Amino acid sequence: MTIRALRILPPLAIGRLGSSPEPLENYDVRVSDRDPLGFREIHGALTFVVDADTGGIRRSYTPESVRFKDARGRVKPVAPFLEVWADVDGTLVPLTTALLARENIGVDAIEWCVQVGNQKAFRRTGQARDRIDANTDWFRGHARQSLAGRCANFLPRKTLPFGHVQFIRPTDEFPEIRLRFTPAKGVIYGANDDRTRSEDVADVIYDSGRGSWSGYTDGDADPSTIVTNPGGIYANTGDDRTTSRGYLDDECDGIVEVRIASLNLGAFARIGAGPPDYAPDSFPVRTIADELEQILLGPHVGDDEVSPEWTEEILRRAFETVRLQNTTVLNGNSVINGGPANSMALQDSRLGRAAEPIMAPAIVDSIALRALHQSVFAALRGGTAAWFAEVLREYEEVGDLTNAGRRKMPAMMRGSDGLHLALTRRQYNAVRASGNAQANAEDPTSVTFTTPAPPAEEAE
Amino acid sequence: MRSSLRRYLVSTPAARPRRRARAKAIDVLEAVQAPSAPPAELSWHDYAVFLLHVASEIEHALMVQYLYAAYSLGGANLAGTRHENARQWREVILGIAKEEMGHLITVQNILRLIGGPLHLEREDYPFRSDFYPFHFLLEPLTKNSLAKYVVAEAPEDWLDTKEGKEVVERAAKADDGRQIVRVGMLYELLVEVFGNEGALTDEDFRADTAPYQASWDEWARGYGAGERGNIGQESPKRTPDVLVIPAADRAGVVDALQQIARQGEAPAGRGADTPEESHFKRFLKIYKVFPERNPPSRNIPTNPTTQPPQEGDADGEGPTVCSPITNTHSMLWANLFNVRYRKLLFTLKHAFHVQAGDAVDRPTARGNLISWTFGEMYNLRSIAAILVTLPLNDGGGDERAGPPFSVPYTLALPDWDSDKWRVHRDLIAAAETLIHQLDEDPDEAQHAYLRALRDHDRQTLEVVERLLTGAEQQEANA
Amino acid sequence: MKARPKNQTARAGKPLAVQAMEGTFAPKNIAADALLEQLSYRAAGNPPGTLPTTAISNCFPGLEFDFRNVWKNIFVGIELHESDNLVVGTDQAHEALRFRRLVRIRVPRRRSGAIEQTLITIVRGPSTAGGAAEDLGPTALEWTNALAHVVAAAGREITCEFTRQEAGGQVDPGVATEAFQLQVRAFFQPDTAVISRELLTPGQLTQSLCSPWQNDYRECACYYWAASRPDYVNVEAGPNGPSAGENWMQVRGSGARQYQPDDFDSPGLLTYEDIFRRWETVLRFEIAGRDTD
Repeated sequence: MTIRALRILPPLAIGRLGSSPEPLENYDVRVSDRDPLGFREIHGALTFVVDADTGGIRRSYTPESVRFKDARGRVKPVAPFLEVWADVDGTLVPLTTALLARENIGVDAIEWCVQVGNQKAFRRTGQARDRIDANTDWFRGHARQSLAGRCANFLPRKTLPFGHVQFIRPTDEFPEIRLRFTPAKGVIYGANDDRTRSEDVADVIYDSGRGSWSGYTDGDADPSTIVTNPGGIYANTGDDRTTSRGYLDDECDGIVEVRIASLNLGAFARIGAGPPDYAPDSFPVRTIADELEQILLGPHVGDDEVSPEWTEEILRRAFETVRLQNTTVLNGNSVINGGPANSMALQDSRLGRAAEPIMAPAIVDSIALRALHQSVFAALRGGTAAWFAEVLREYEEVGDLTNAGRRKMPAMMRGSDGLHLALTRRQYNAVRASGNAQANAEDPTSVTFTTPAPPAEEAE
Repeated sequence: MRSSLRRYLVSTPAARPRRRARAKAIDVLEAVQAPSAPPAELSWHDYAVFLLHVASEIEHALMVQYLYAAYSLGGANLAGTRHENARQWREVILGIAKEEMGHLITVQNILRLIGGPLHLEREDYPFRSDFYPFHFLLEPLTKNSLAKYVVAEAPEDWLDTKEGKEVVERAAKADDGRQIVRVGMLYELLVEVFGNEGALTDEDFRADTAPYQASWDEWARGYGAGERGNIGQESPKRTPDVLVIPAADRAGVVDALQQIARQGEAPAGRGADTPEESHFKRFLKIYKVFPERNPPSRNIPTNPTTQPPQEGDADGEGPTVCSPITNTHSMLWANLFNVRYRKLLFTLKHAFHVQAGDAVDRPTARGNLISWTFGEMYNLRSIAAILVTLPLNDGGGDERAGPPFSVPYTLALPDWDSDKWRVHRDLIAAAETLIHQLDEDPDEAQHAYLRALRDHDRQTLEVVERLLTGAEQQEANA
Repeated sequence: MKARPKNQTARAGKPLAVQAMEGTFAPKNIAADALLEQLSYRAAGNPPGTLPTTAISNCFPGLEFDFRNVWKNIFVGIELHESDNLVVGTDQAHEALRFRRLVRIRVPRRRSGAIEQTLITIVRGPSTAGGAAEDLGPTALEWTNALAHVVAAAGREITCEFTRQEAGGQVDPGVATEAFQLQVRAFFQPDTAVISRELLTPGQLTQSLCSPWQNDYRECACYYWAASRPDYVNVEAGPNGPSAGENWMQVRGSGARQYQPDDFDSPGLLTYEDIFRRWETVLRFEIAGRDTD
């Protein structure tokens, strides 16, 4: 029984910025059986407290409740753990000290290397000197390793901190091999010129004498760089040239790598740090998980992959989204300064389409639309929403800006091409297949969900 | 049709359609002639309102009968092509039923336009009248019942064809030998009346009622050609729009009426290049291939009811065979169905009484009412699908139950706005009691649906309470 | 088709992503080839915010990542723009393709024929209210859906049709093209669920996001990402029908509960400066749609 290979799971972990020294507790998010159309519930889950000095998990507990900010109002960062797993005879199992011992390997044989970067300035200026990279180089042991971003265009001795990583010291209670990535505080850095306002930034690190990020404008971009779309999305002085202030943030993304040299084995995973999730009980309709799933499994959905629960989850996310949107405004109803407020209706008008509300203005109140989605949800459970796929926008229909086209689902939202959002083809096919299964079943109500257990009397 | 309507149809010779003698006992009513005067006791305007009420009842009754027929298709005993046929035909007929709903709504728009009261009522198992196509009967789909639907929607000239005569004969037999009346006839009369500038003057058309009419954008937005709310595996492009047509003037009314009539029968002359198939064509297609024996439908009854059978019928005419649902569990579902049916009609009616909103920035409660109406349409479909799998009788047996579509005791809108919201509250409370009873049953298979439904009702109730309080405050300040 | 849906792994039918969030998918071992399970895995101690299922992927440009960047290097020899069908970089061998546009791809099927996908769509709509639909110009489709069939051709060459010359602006899909055979890179590192090294270097997933992200939060209206960056909060049914609530970016306690539509100049809304300087304080977490903390 030898280790054939190593893996790091999850293969993609998302961290979230925050300045609290206390990382966010762990929690589960669950749909309530009794209140299936209500908000999902947040329940505390097993949380590890890591000792900063020893690097070991000092204690584990399940919190009664979850607070997203600490007592001083600082946002708690989401600091993901990455676990090393071992392929033993075709099955992945967590790599532990015991498993290592069987290979006569100690924990000190494990090496890590983390490389992250923030290329936001480089992406615009095209200058390699604007790259900001942090590299821990191979390290062992359990001390915190800072992720210090270096850049040729920084002022002397200045770096941009992206947070830190720590190889967690395994203990008897927690013998697994894991690393923790703690993102940065979410502060802003500026340049040594008058476009930077000192109150905005935590530090001045960019050297305007060397680099052109401060003062950059998409309009003057090197033709070979080809600006981002949307363009002009950087802090600017507010002039009509969208002149960059030269601000940088401490988001990053990159690679975490592990190796055991004596076994000639290694693995890597990807990490990144983004902003907090400000509605932690609600989830988007199309996510990176959906992208990756389509890439992995293809756009077609096999018979054995169909489930009404999948369609239900998509519908649920639809009304979770609608619930947090002012759909009256997003419909293009509102008029500000003589034109429709920022919405897809406005964006469409910039493409030459007549500026008009997307749906009949009378019906688009957020609560009314939420109710409509929830009715469809109930119908799905009643076995009769098989038609739902018909109202979904297909991926090649994103340019259809007729009334009928814009009213397809998801409505009022923008996709990656700037046009109206379509689900992934896999999601679309899943809804369609599940609908067909319901329609084709001898008894559509039999194509149904796991009957939830009758509710135990829960003390309030 | 209620006796209160009936007398207006028989009292004036001019209004009575001529009958053309035919072979045997099969008569077909000819097209109407333009009446020279309204019936006694009615002015022209009033007569127009009255005819629109007749049209409303007919559209409503057809819609309900077609829905029942659609839900009857299917069943666990079907396999292979029979199963596939049942599914396809069910979709087609459901599409037709939705279009009848559109007609019903458009007729309400016309009533609004000429200042008449809305009419979403329907008589329980009414008997014949001169315009009523056939005896009202909730029954599983058979070739015979299909024949009735085909003839009712048929264009006049088809009835004379060889094919037509056969179907007419079968249809009449299916309706106890009575004449099947084309729905188109009533619409022809309506067009005559509305077209008559001496009958309805221009002042009778109130264009300012637009905010109180139903618009296509609000009601039919998901149901454009090809997106009919069905799986649409059969040529989706050819399925038509649900017609919800607001009307602003005489010409608009005449156009709307003609569109409704066309959607029904698509009279000869439009030919093969008509992109949309009429009800008549769609029913006929199914009729032609529908099996004589052993139809792919479930063992569901005729006229299921939650009441024990009544003694005779109020007007002494027509079949009154009803099938009581005696299984107590099925009865609960049937009761729930009736509550949702009443809620659908009431909410729809209420929506007509709430303005669409003048400033685009400020939607009104109408948006909620429209959402809730759609919700009830979905509920009816879900609960009907459940009912047809549940046993009819307490003692067991193969018979299944069916959706009763019982006519509510009233659909009247209370005068005060706050009281209108009270009715919603009442309906939700009635539903809650039934849902609770169903959910408590450990043998219940539909907990997931019931809980979603209850949750939705709860959230609806929150909104209703707010609106009720808001209305009360406004009434107090007025 | 008489398919009946079958249950997936673990609990009946629920997507793995949901099970991971709920805490019911926490396997002690995973088959080495169970790549979806590996992708969905939630490590001990990790809150759901660490999972890809909480990160939006309608990226324009995105929130946690601009996922469009994964496609830039899908073809060996060229680099595509993340949100346009333009070749922005090439190796020496493919120099001729620089600044041309990729119009169409043809992916050979296993047995015969090919799947063809045009990468450009024509935007259509009425230019006047109530008018007939007109062509409003071509635009590139987003990559993930357009290239859905390419991924399966990893390691092989497929036919890519480019414009015959450089094309600054978007082109009509019917434009004359020139075909090249390009090799498709493997998306994942072999036998794993991690995105291959060759597709993304450190910093590439976030490089086209807003700098700083706080700028985007203030600037972008809420038609992308309400479930992550809310728009309409503290919502209640109003007394006359329409709901009443606040704009998440509204200064709280600033008077009657009325939603302030986004307007850079409005005093009732947070400013860029507020967010740069005090985002942790002024931005509120929303639980059950209400301000918390």
